[in-house]
Amino acid sequence: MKQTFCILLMVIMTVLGIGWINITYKPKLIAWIVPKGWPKPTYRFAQNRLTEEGVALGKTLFFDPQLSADGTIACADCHQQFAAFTTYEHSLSHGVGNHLTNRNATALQNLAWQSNFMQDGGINHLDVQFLAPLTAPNEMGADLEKVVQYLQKNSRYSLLFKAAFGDTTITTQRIGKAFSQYLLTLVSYNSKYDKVMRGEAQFILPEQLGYDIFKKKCASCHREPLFTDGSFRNIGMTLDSTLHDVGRMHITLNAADSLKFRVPSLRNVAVTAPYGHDGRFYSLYNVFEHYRNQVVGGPTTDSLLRRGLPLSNYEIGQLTAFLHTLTDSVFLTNPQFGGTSFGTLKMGNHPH
Amino acid sequence: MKYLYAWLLAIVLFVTSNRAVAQTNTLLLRCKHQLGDAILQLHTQQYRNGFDEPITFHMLKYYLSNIVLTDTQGKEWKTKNFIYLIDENDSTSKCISINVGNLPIVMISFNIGVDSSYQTVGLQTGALDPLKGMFWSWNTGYVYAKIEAQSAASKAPTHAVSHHIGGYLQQQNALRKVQLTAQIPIRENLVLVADLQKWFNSVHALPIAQYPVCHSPGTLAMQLADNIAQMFSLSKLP
Ligand code: HEC
Ligand code: HEC
Repeated sequence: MKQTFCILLMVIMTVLGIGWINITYKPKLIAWIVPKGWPKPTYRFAQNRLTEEGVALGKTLFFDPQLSADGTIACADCHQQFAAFTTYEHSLSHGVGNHLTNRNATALQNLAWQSNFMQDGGINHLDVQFLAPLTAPNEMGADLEKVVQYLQKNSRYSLLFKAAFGDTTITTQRIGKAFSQYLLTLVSYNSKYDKVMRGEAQFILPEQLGYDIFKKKCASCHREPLFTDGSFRNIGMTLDSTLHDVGRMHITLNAADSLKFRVPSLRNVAVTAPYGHDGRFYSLYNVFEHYRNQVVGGPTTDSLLRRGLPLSNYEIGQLTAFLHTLTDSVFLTNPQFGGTSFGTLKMGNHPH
Repeated sequence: MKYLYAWLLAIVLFVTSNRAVAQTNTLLLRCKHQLGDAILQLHTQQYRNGFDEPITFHMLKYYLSNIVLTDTQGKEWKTKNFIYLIDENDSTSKCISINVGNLPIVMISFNIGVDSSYQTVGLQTGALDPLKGMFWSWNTGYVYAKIEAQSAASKAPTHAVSHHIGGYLQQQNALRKVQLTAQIPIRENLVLVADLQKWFNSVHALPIAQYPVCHSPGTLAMQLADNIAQMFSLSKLP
């Protein structure tokens, strides 16, 4: 009798032990949907399944200034939701100690379709991307080891990591996956343009005329529906003598890539001023002026632009009307992204 | 209660028998760092390289991967992990155990660095965790080998000698394969000696005065990688 009891007890304990592990770790999978007619994403979701818990962790990290060296700068300070996650009205952004970044902050949207990151394409996977701003002395200036220690000591993060990954272990890999999960939810596909394409709305005349010009003069690089073909090109912007930014060549070390930068998406472009890799263009009008009058024909300038892009004032007006249809107010105000509440804007804190 | 003991005994037997079944022999691969004949000591010792430049080392780290030992019958034996980070400052990292058969070893081959397949698929754990300080964040990829040192010959700030060597893209590939044959077949411990003199001067002459810093993939990184591949030899002495 005692023996049977003993065996029974062992069996029950084992079953309970296994069961407990499964019961406490049941993250809610998120169905990530590719908008109709869009290409297949490049991000490999099979290796990092999106869950509500993972996204929640990523979002918390994204808004946490404590990750930075002096506790002042969160990702969200440079990537503001209402500006499509660029830095509002800043050509360059401020990092810790009021250092400036070397480039204009890019919009964070539709990252699942991007095969490389940063305007020189130096980063080859979304999961590793956060390490660059986190550790760069002019951005968050943090030491990775200290960041991991901070997360380990923080009981709130212990809970978040456990909910997202099943236990409280904190590794660089898990941090990266959590950042990606949040960033991958930032999909912009509800602009007027999208609604027109889906047959839910109609362009007014100037928008339609602008769209026709766009397809002729711009879409070979700013390809629909993402409004970028992901390639690196030189649009004939001169080298800035203070930043010395040679773009893609910095990574490939190939002179043929000098002054080439990734074609940016134009989604939400109306709210992402200033423009260009270093933010030298203050308005869309300045960009058009560049295309029609200021293109410098160097050895790597794109063949499509060697002689500039002729644009009449009428065309500029119509193109501007069309570009405004790419503004996705659902995206810019979606409360799930976490950047809409007052506290996170920190306008009062912002030095400029 | 009797059953509990029986249960425990079964577990113990299972674990031990599993070991006994595999008729293997464990061999230790020890990494030893020298400058010529002098054993490397961090921080405290000044050495002279082949260009008569003084140098004091503060850090030496490198990745060894795909380590394969070949025995007298040509059978190949691999290490448990694919990649190891050797760190002069961490003595356990300098000793790798390998299960081999009963025959002596006549050849060892390994790569210095990290296969490109690990560098394009997101973050890794263990030896490849970016926490190990061997990862470039602005230009994704691993640093394969790294020294931090100081030399009066260096014109860099704080007279630093800082070489971070890596690169996997086409025309930047700094992964190097090393193959060494043992003069006498080895039965016990393998001692892999790395002579840091060759870091600066072997295939390419790279004096500190001219090349104190290498912080990105490219020509210099590949030349340093060529040199590093020449550092290794097998010693019979423990
Ligand atoms: C100090 C300002 C600043 C901070 C803080 C910052 N970023 Fe950025 N971010 C930028 C700038 C500037 C760029 C463009 C860099 C480039 O192109 O070289 C950028 C680019 C990116 C990109 C690449 C987008 C693309 O299209 O290639 C991602 C993703 C990103 N940041 C995410 C983050 C995350 C996650 C954090 C927090 C860990 C963060 N950023 C913190 C300024 C910042
Ligand atoms: C040859 C390819 C190409 C063509 C054609 C082209 N662009 Fe661009 N565009 C680019 C590249 C590359 C950049 C980024 C340049 C940089 O920052 O160095 C860019 C930048 C922009 C920007 C700034 C976006 C930002 O967020 O900074 C706008 C706006 C823009 N283009 C609109 C247009 C319009 C409108 C047309 C058609 C009249 C057009 N482009 C034609 C390649 C092209």
